Amino acid sequence: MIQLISFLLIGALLLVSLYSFMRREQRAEGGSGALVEARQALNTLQAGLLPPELVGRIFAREDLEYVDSEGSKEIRELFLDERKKIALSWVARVRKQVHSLRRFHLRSARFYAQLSVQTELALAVDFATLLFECRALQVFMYVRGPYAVPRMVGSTAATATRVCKISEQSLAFLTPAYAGRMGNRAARL
Amino acid sequence: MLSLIIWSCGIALEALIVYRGFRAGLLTKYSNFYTYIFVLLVSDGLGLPLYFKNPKLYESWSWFGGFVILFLGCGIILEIFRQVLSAYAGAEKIARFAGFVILGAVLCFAIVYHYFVTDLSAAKALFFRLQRDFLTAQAILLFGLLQVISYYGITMGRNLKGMILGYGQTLGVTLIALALRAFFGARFEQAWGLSQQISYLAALAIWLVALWSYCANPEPEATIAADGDYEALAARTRNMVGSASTELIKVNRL
Repeated sequence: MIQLISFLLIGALLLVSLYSFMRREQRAEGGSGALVEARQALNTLQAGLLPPELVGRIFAREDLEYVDSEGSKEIRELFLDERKKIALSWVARVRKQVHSLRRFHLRSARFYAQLSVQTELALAVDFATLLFECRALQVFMYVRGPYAVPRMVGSTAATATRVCKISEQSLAFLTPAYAGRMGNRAARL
Repeated sequence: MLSLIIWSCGIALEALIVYRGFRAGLLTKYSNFYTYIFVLLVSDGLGLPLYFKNPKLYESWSWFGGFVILFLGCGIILEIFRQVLSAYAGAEKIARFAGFVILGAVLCFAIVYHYFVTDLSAAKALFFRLQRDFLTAQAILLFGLLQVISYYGITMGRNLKGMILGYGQTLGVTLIALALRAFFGARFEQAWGLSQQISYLAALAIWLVALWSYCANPEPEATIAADGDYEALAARTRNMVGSASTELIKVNRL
């Protein structure tokens, strides 16, 4: 019976892999389209969504205290609900940045003949751990809310800035002029 | 009757694939694959008249052909490995490493397995067992390759995608059918034969469409030009991941 299950499992795994392989989006190679997209996403985040003072303002505890002082339970619940949505949205952005960083690394590393298997395996574990941490944070925020722990606001903003810097470093070679050229090439694909 | 119709359709499709391969100049580009198809064509083409004129000779011919085709199937896997990863030295290294690990594991399994199981007497039983073990090794290798392709975001042309889909689905279906046949015995014999033939015919149809004309793999664009700074790339990525991870842990602990 164990033999039957193991062979069935191997066959089924292969068929499922083939199905996802055929459904896989055929992106226009990471060299142009994906990198320009990553650069643009990073610019949007840094310029409009994640300046520390703006994030700090959105998550300010004084706002909650002010809403509390009004004494309306309904408004308080509505307020907390809105804040939770924003916090969850932020973690989703961090995850996106980590994914972007991983994609960039893999699309660069695959060309290196002297690639180290040990380093790649260690990196794969690191990325998996980081993504798991992001997911855990999402669950944490979903269950306990954005105001459940003190200093959450400052730390979230710091982490957001950090991750943006990480992505910026990984895309540092992509200067505006280079991005423009790549964008033109991607548009022709 | 249905079996004979499928058999005849299979021969026609095999001949058409070889013809199209010759016309499109694919024979030398995918030599392992076309060797496999050509041997299939010869085996089936000679087997059909023998089946009616001399069933006894057909029996021995079909077992011989079966073994040869079984071994040549590995050539398709090697062809896929060679074609898919030729432009990606790094990904090829990872895949080669994974291949050695998997082959080592399969070899260990085979040694341990035969140490405990010694009832290999009949040629038929040997073939089915060998076929299942062989196909299992190929299925695991192909599964590993698909994971590497997905992980490193490797793109490929219609020819290779068709080759992988056609051979992969035959491998998966045959493996499942063989496992069920070994478990259920004679009750599953008819369903086993039919599923094998249909999946094989489907593979031929996929190959015919995918390999109708030459379709090169998309030219990969390197994101960094130099090939000598992998260590720097890996170290930088590790630092970045480590920093982000530390910050997130801090947030979690608040």
